[in-house]
Amino acid sequence: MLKKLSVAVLFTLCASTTVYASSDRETDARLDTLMGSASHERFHDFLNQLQKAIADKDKKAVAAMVDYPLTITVNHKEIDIADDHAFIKAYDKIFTDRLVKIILDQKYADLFAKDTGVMIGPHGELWFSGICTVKDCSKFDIKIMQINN
Amino acid sequence: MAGINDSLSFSLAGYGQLRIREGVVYRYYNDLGPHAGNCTWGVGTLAHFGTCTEAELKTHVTAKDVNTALARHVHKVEKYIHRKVRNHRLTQAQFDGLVSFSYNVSNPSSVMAAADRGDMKAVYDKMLQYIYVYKHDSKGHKIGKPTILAPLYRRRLEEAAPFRQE
Repeated sequence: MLKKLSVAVLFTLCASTTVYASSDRETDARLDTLMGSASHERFHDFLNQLQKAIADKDKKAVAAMVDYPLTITVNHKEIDIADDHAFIKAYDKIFTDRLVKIILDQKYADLFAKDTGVMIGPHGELWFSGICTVKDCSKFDIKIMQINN
Repeated sequence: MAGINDSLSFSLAGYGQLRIREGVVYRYYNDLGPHAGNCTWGVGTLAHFGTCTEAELKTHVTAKDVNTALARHVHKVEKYIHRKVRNHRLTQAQFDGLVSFSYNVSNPSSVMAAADRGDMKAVYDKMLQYIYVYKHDSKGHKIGKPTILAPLYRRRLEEAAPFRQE
């Protein structure tokens, strides 16, 4: 009986919860919970920098934001990108008009985040995350981990 | 034969934390994962390995679908822990930590064995080994060095905390 009640309460809670955060503050809080206290500014900056670099078609700047090697899905076909040179060479194939629009339209307040990283786009078109640089993970770099266009 | 932890179930607080860790998405999406990610929906519910099809990406998912899949998966994990940890009594916090952990990894058997024999230090140490992310090329071969993602490391620390020996 208790178990049934718990599940009923859970369903009520789940149904009333929004999928995405709806304000910058909520995203700040969510990122701090998942990534570490006071880390949201770095993720917010990363999104801003990425959107600016994409808008400016600054291939070099975007390439510097990627964690290599990287396997990218382009039209359901996977391509291997070893380094920034290969990334820049494939840039126009990767960043189609559709993907560029998705990235530029992404609002910080609507970012989805989970235990592996932060998702841009409704279907995981681009992911970025904090990659630990020291053993206890007290320091990390933020990089693009996955692209599906 | 009944196990010593059969009366334990995942707490509401545990559900809340799991929803934060896995996130909740009312549609199919390509999660961060090996190759180019895995087709996922709801509260980290794996549809299948590999990216979603166009049809899947257009599929509408209701709150009921999400919650049913979540409850079903958690129930399966609870039963697994009841079956595997029969001899050492767990606290509610430890049980919640093991449910969240097992929900997220493919083979938690070594952690369960340590919990069953009451070796809490081994449970803690082993849980913190499940933090590495490997990249794969288009042929499925591992490439590059394994990386540790800050949010995943944080999750493991939280899940393992009830087992920490001072």
